[in-house]
Amino acid sequence: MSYYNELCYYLRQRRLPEDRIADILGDVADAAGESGGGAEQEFGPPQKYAESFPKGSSRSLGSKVTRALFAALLVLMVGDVLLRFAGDQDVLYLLGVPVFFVAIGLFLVTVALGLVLDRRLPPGFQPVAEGRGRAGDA
Amino acid sequence: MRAALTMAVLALLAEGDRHGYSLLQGLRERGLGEVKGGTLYPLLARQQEANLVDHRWEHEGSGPARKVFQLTDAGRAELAGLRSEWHEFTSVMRDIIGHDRDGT
Repeated sequence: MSYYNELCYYLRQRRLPEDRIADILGDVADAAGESGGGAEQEFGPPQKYAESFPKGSSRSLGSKVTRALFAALLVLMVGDVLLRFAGDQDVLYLLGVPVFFVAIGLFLVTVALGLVLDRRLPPGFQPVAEGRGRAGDA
Repeated sequence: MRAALTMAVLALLAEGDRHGYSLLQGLRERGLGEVKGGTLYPLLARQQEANLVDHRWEHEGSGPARKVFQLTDAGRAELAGLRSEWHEFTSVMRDIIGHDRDGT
C-alpha cells in the first residue's frame, strides 16, 4: 500500500473533505517529486502527518458504507434471535446458509470494504512515476 | 521556532510568489535548518485559512499544474506587525544579553 493510500486513509479518519484530501496529496506529491526523496522522508509517517491537520466533519464513503452494512447486520442478528424465539427452529437459514455464518461473512465484507474504500486515492489525483502528482485545478 | 517560521514564510513570500518546495529550499538556504514539508505545508494551510496567504495553479508546459503561494494584503499587514514586534524583542534581548559585562 503506497504512502498516498495510507495518508488518504488517515485523513478520511479525521473526516477531512475529499477536495481537501486531494489538495494535501497534491502538495505531498509536488514536494516529494521536487526533493527527489520519498514522501515519507519529507513528510514523516502518514498517520503523524495526517494528525497535523485539524479534524473536519465530512464522513467518508467507507464510513458511510460500513455504517449501512453494520445496520443491516444488526437487523439480521436481531431478526435471527426474534425468529428463533418465535419459532421452534434451532438454526435459521438465509438463502440456504445459516444466518450466523451470513452474519460473520457480512461483518468481514463490511470491514474489508470500509478499509478499501477509505484507502482509495481521490478523483483527480494521479501520482506519476517520478512521484509528482497533482490535485487538479480546484 | 514556530513563530519565527511563520514570520519567515511570510517574509519569503513578500519577496515573491513561490512553489511550496521553493519555500522549503529558501528556508533551508537562509539557515533555518532542515525544515520538512510536514512542517511547512500545515503551516501554509493555517496561513491560508487565516487569509494571510493565497495560492493559484500554474501550468508549466505539459507537466502537471503546480500550486504557487502568494501573500495577501492581510499577510503583508501581518508581516509588518510581526517584523515590528520582532525588532522590538531583539532590541530588548540584545540589550540584556548582548554585553559582555563580566568578561566571560
